Amino acid sequence: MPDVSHHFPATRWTLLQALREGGEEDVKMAMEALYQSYWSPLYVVARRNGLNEHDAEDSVQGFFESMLERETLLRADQSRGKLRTYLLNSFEFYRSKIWRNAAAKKRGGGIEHLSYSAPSDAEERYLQIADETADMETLYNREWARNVLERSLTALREEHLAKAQGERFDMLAMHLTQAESEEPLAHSARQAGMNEATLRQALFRLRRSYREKIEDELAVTLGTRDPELIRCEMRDLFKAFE
Amino acid sequence: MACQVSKLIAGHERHILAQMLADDEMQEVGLDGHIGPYRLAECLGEGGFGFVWRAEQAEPIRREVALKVLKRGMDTAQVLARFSLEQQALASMEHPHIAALLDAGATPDGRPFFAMELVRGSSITTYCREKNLPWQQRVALFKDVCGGVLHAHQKGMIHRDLKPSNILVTELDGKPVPKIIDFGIAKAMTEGFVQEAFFTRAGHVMGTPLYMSPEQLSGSRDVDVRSDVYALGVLFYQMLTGSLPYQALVRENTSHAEMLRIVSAKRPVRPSVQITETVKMAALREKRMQPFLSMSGIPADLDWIILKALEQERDRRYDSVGALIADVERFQNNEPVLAHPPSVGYLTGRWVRRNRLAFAAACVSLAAIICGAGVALWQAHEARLAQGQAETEAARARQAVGFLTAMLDRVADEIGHGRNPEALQLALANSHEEIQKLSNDPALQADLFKRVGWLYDKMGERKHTLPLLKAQVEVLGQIHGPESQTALEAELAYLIKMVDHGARSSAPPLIEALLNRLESSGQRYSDFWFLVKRQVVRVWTKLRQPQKAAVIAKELLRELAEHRVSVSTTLFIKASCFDAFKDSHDHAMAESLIQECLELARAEPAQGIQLDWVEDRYLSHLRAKGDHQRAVQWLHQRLAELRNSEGADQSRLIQLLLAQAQFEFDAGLRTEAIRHAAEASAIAQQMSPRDDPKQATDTARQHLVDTLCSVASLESLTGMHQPAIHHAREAFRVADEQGHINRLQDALLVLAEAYQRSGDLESTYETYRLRYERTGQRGANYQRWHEDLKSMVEVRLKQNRAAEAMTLVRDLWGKEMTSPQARADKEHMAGVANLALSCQRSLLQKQPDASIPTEMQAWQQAVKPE
Repeated sequence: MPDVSHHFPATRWTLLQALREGGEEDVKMAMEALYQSYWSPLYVVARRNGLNEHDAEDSVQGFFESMLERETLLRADQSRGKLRTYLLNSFEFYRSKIWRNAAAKKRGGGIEHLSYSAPSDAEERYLQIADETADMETLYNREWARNVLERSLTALREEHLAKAQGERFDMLAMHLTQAESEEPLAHSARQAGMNEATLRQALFRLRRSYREKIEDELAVTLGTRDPELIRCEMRDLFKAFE
Repeated sequence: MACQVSKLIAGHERHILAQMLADDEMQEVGLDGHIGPYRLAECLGEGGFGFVWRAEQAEPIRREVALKVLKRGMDTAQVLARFSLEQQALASMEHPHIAALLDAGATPDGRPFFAMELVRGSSITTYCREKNLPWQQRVALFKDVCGGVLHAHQKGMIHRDLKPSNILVTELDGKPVPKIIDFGIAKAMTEGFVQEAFFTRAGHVMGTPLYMSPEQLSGSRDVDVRSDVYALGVLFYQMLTGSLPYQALVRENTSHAEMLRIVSAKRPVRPSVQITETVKMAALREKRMQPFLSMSGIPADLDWIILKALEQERDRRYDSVGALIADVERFQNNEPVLAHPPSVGYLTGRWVRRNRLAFAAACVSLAAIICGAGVALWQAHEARLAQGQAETEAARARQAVGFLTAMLDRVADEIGHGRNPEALQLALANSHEEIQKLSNDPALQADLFKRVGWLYDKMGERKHTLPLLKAQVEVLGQIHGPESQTALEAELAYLIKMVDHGARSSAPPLIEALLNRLESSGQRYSDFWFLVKRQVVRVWTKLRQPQKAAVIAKELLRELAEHRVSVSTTLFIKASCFDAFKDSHDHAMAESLIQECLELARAEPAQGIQLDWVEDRYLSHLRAKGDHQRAVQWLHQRLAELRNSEGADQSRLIQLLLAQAQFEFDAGLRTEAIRHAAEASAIAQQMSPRDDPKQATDTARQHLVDTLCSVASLESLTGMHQPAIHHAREAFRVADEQGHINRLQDALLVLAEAYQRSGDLESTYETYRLRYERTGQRGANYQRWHEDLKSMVEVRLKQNRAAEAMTLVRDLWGKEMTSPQARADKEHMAGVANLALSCQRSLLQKQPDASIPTEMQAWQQAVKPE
């Protein structure tokens, strides 16, 4: 599960900028952000390709290590495609061409491992979507989208907790994410002691802030805040669920 | 708290993103989420031109609608025309299976929209799957959809984008009601100008390629109702089988061009065959049997209905949806349907194309006669024949045509009985007698004997090869005289086949007789004589009398040293002698001979193929000796040489890499072994790009299967179970696509073994069963089908499911008893009986009161030593 304390400050850098131009702290933070956004999507890809749990973990871990080691990302050209696609392609290359051969040698020693540990719920996530018939890239995009949505929502929740509005947030969040939540809006409104229209308003505002958080996340990996591009990215992600 | 958030998200991603897009749109609209009287509630989807919303209407009546709104920036004249056309189309139609148009208008910023009946339901294929509908109900549902499409056609609209996601099923009073919802790229049959909107840019065709007719795929503007007939065929196929007609070859994002290549290269697997595949593979993949179990036993008539709708040439399809509906109704009423197995003439074309390699020269000229204008030509010939003016050529052609037509008639017949793959075999069954009848043209007769003989050989039905080749020798003897070179060469070819397989023990006297004949005509020590004498060495080696073979080999080598013969003859002889020495354990002699052969083959660049042949012998020699180290070293050098040489033969490289992998594995170098096999696989992969099945040569695909099998079995043996299973499945997929039975069999065996080693016995069992059903039953060879059934029994025994093992083994025994060849093989029968007895013991342990099977006595009898 992403840890909100590592939420990457989108306002300052894009990920790649931070890696290229940032100081040691920035690089570390960017790397962690990258790690958290892409670990489970890549894991899903590895599993989908027939690797077992251990090998899938090992290959994703190895991929991040090799990126750090070989400074691959510094050479990535953001103008020539999305970071998301770039990482998927690089990973596929790494997994089929490098990891396969290196796996045996590397196990039990070799280069220093990254200090971040693998997310514990990646396998669970994989199992949830494992028998979907969608192709690998769609699964990757779905998992990535889910990751973005989760991190954004967590960040939003943190903000509310800080303002001591945790309870209110939890009540609203349910309506925020579910098409037809089990509790109808009217019921929630009565419980919260407000009328339905006010609740709708509150929900609308919450959704707007949620959207901003999501835009932050997307801007970080897209390397741009261009609203049109961000909107396109959202549509792309939406399509992964069609 | 983390978990809480993740629960809020999981499964709702689509909705959240839809909301975000909805907010965008609402902002664009500039109002508080309203368009006209409609409040936008949820984005249902996005098409090329617009968004579709679930929207709520308050006035004049409270209801929910589907609102289609044109996207911003899409308001070009073309798109507007298309958008309004869809609206007009919907307005003109009124049918229970088409979503109704309710209203139309424009947003404040001038973009058109229209409101449609909101259909709450899932796509038709999802509905069938989730409700696990029996096929009868699927047929009824399909007929409803056809009714909707027919209505549209009657209103002058061709849909052009029929696919499951455009046909939703909702329930009304507990009954499923399908509704066609999207006429986005429909075409008016009368209006010429709107066709333009179909093409967004030159050569770019809209719509989903997976459901498109070939003419639509090729970008033809001349698209009519028969394109919808085709799409309905694809839909029906998918509703019944759960998979697309070319499932193994397509992906979600298969392009139009790729799709066009696929549909023009292949015919779809028959639905009733596909269904068993789907069930099996689903079971293998997901370890659950569910969705299509209730679907087994689709009647053949449905196959023909679907295949008729799916014909490549639209003239061969139903000429209207009405005709399709009528045939479906005939089927439902148990009346004979119009659709039927492909006709003879049609098949001839296809068959000749498919077997061009095997049946080459004879067919090429005949195909021209049979296909197309052939019939007319033939009739003309007949007329001329009647007048007694026929030329020999014409008569020969006519007879050949008659022969092939009769044969293909039987193929068609067999296909009609649903035994497609065996059809060719069965068609050939009486070919000997048929050819015999052509006695007035011995040249043609000889030619056909030879070709059909070799065809059998290629099909692995070798017992049929020999009589045909023998007949050829006799006919050639009659024409040219038994001692003519033509007849003699045919005789040698016949003897070689005889030595290679089949009646070996009767070969030596025949070879001796031929040698004597050659000697009496003064041809002793001729090249040809040497080649015949070589067969003596070969036959004794094959008959497992290596000492005898070695004695003759020594004599032959002495004679060879004293006479001048061609390089290739020398090579052949030395190689055969090598085999003899190797088998008689005269390693020194064998070693020096094979080295001589290698040098000889290398010294003569023209002998390239023979070099491979000699090298393979050398390697098999090293393997037999268990000298893995030396093999690895030798291969290492040879591979380096091959890799460095420009334009090296990729096939050879693959073969040697696989050999290297095997030797390394045997020498304990497992990692290297897998690495080399993977390298071979990568090369094969490059030779046969996945997404272009047509370009990939057969050889390349066979290499791909071989290398994948090799990788899989090495991985499996090393304990890397998951990748092993993955690779074996891939091998199966490729072999299946290629339709190569032998390789399919190999791949499934590797897969079964990989499952077994991974401990997944149920999948192991299913794989053997699939293998049995796909390949085992087909061969005339009893040992073939025996193999899989036996493995199935063994797996069940391992699983301690004795009762099932018992049923299977009794089935197996019953089958053995029906095969005279199997019954004659005592050792083989004892093996089966032994297995049966273990099943019985195991069953008694579990159920002491189990009854004694009636075969018990026969089993005990069979295992008794003679």
